[in-house]
Amino acid sequence: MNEESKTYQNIICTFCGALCDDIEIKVKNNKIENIKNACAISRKKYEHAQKDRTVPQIKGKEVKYNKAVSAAAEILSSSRNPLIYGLSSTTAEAQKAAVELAEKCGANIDSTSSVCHGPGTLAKQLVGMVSATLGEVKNRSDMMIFWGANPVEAHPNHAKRYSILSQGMYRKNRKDREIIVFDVRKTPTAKLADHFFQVKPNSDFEILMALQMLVSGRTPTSEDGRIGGIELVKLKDLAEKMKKVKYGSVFYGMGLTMSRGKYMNTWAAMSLVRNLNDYGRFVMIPMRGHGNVAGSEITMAWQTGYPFAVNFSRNYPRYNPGEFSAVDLLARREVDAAFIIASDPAASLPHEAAEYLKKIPTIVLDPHWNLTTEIADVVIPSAVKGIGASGTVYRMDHVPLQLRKFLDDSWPDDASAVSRIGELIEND
Amino acid sequence: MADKRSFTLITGRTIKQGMASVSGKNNQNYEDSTAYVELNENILEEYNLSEGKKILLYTDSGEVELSCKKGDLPEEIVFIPYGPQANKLIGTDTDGTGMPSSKGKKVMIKRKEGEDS
Ligand code: SF4
Repeated sequence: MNEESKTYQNIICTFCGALCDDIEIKVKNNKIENIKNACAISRKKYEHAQKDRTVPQIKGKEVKYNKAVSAAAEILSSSRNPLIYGLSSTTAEAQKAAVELAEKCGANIDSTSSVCHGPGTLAKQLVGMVSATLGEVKNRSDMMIFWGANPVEAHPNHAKRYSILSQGMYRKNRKDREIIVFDVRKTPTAKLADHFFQVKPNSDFEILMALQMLVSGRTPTSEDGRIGGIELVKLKDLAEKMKKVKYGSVFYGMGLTMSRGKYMNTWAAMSLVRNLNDYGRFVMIPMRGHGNVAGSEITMAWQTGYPFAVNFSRNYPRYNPGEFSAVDLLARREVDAAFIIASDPAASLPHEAAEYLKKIPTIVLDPHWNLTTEIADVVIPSAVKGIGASGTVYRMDHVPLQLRKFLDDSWPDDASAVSRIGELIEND
Repeated sequence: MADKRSFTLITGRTIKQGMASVSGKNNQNYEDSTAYVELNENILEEYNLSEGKKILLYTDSGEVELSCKKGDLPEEIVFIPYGPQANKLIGTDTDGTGMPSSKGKKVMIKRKEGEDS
C-alpha cells in the first residue's frame, strides 16, 4: 500500500558524541526519502541504515532469531571468564541490561571508552573536571581551545552547532571567539583557528605543565627557548590571555588520551583548567567519539560504581583498567568467550588483540555486518538505534537525550536481546 | 632500501574514513579510506616515492604495506587513518591504562624493492 510521506523533525543523529538533535527525515513506505541538516557522515549513516543488515547466524549459517539468542546464552553460561565489550553505540537501556548480564555470568565488562576517552576518565577520578553543557559554552565562551581534537573531520556539525561557528546568545558568531588549536599536525580544524600551536608528538604533558607554571607566574626553563616544539614566549602570551578571558573552554580529543602520558596528559589539562578558574571561568569537554560512549560510562558507573573495565568474577564489581580492559584481557588471552555489543573490535582494536577473538567463541549483536561479524560464531541482528529503536543516549557533555524510532524494524532492539540472553542463563 | 631512520606514527580520523565506516565495513570504500599512509612531501622525495606507490611500515608490534599519499605533515610524522591496517602497527601494551599507544608510536619505513619512483 502506498502511504503518504511523513516528515519527522528534531531527530537525533547517533553517530558521534555531538548527538545533533535537529535532523529532519522524510519517510515514505517505511523508507527514508529525504534527510536535512545532517553532516556528511550522518547523511551516509542514514542512507546506509537499512542496507547491509545482519541476519541471525550460527557459524555462518542463517538460523531463527531465537536459536541465535539461545546459542549466545549457551556460550556465555559455559564460559569461565567471558568478556562483554562495545556498548558505545547502543542505548543506556541496553548498557544497563549488559551490566546485569555481566553480573549473572561473572563476566568482564568494558566499553570502547577504554580505547578512546578512558584515560581522561582516569584523570577525572584523580583531579575532577570543571565542565559545562555545550549550550553554555556556545552562548558564553570567548576562547575555545581544541587540544588533540579534529571535529571538522570527526564531529562535522560540532563547529556550526556548538562551537567555532555557532550563533550563541552572548557570543554571536566567529569573531566573538578566539579559536586556538593544539595538535601535532595541521588538521582541517587547525586551519579554522586564530592560533595554531604545533605540538611535538608526545609532548602534550610538558606543554600543559609549562602553561600551568606560566599561569601561576613562574617561568619554566628551556635551553632552546621552546617547550614541546612551541616557542616559550608564545606560551607565555597564551597563559596571559587565558587569565584574561571571561569564559574559556577546552575541547580535548584522542591527541591527549592516546599519546605518551595518556591519563597524565588529561590530568595536566584538567589541573590547568581548574587553576584558571581563579581568574575567569574555564571548562573542559571531551570530544566523545561514538554516539553513546559517554552513556556507557555513566550507566556503568551508576550500575557498578565504575565507568569501564569492570570484572564480576567474584560476584561483586572490581575495577582495574589495564587488567580488566578489553585490549589487555584479549592480548593476555585471559578470556574464553566474547560478547560484542554494537562495536567492531576487529577494525578498531590492535591487530593482536582482535585476532584472539578468532580463537574463542565470539557473539556479535549488531544491526549491520562489519569486520567482527565476519569472524563471529554467533551473529544476532538488532534494530537500528535512533531509527528503528528508541532509548536513551548521553551527549558528550552528559546531557541525556531520548531517541525516537521512526521506522519499523524487523528485529528487536539491543536491550531486548541482551535481557533475553540474561533470562535464558538465569532459567538454565 | 632499508633505513634505520624512525618516524612518529599518528593514527586518526578522516572525514572519508568516517563516511565509509557507516556505509558498510565490507565495502571497497572502507578499505580505500583506511589503507594508505600520508607522508611529508620531502620524505616522499627522499625515498624516491610518488603518490600511490607502496611502502612497508614496521613497528615493534607488526608491519603493513600501504600506498603513499602526500600529507600536510611535519617530516617526522606519518599518518594512517584509524582502521584495521593502522592497527597492525599498534601494540597491545596499554601501560596499565587499557589504552594502546595509538598516537606517537615509533615506526620505520622501507621502500619496497621493485617499486619504481
Ligand atoms: S556531528 Fe555527529 S551527531 Fe552531528 S550530524 Fe554529524 S555525525 Fe551526527
